[in-house]
Amino acid sequence: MTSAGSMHGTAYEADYQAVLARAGSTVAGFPPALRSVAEPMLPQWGEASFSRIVALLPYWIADLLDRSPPRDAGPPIPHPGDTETLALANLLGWWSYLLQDGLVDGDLEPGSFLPLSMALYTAAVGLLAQLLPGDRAFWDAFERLSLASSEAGAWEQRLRLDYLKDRMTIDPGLVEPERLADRSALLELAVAAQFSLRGLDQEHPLYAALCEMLRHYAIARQIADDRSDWVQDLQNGQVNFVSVRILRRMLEIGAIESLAELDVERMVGYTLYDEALFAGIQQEAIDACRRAAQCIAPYRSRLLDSLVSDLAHDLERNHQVARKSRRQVQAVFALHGKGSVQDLRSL
Amino acid sequence: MARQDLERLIGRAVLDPEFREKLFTDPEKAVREAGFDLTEEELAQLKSIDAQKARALLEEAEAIPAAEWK
Repeated sequence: MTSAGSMHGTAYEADYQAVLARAGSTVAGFPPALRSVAEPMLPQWGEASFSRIVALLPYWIADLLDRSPPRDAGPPIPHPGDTETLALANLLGWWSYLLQDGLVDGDLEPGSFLPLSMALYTAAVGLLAQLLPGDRAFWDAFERLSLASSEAGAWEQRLRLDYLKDRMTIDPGLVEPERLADRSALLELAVAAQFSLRGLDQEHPLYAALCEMLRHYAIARQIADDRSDWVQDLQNGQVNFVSVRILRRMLEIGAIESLAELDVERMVGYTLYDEALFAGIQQEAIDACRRAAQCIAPYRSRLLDSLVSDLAHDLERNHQVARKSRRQVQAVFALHGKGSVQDLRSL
Repeated sequence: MARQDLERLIGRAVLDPEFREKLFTDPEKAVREAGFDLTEEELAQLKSIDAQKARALLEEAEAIPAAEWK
């Protein structure tokens, strides 16, 4: 996904560069062994669209709160530099999470990257402790969201690594999109922090609206990621939300009788002919975008609206590209004729 | 050929460029070496593929579905 050219991607470019510079300084202060692992990663991390989103979210929330403060709040309390520090904490926290994800995927070597992930997390929490040392509402939210994030991570690990062991059927809960929403914990933390920095009450409807919007956004984003990665994940012996959906469909229509028959090549071959399956997955992601947009519609945040509408646009574009690709493969193998899979499917 | 074998053959052609090339160059040999059991009709269908056109189409479609989200 490319957000760099969109409204939410360009509005705070100078701020993003400042946050990146501070992230570089933070990493430069790590012990040499960790620094040497982290520094080569920084350019790639800095370019990643989600790094930008995670870092700039505190600015977008600040923009919204400045323009539309909750009615029962006093004037915003200025804290020069706090939003930048919060953005840095968010970014370091995201990079820590990114490394954890890479470790779960088996893409990274634990000896180097696990300590780096812990160092980034420690730095992020240290910054939050500087910003909000005694704010009970924030640290309660921090504890709740950390637990939700940990549970989501543990669930994903079970799903990705252990699910295929000794399994013959699929738990319905594994294909519920709501399970993906807890990935938004880091984003919700930015809301909690910004409200606390401004002395605003978490009970205000805007707080709930922002958190709910981010949960729906996280669902859509994760479906998009999993739709992209399911083949590669399966080749690594891991399932994700989309491949579980495909397996469930194959079980339902009798294409396979148990998960023991799982075969990446077969699944790829099968999916070329099940447009309805991908249309359904696409619809769920678009519905999540729509719900995200509805949550914040009353507050008229052009930046957050742009974040959601760009995701919806990318989802649609990528869905159409993949659809076209599937049609091209069908054309190559002339699969609509007699004896084709299409033909066999109708038996 | 059983449905699952046909799905697997196509899936392999999508995922494995080496197998795909063999399939276009010499379908009979590629299918035999891979252990797929094709009927004469299915084999004839594979032999009728215009390899050059197919290569171009598949090159464009290479990423199914992995490159969908980059």
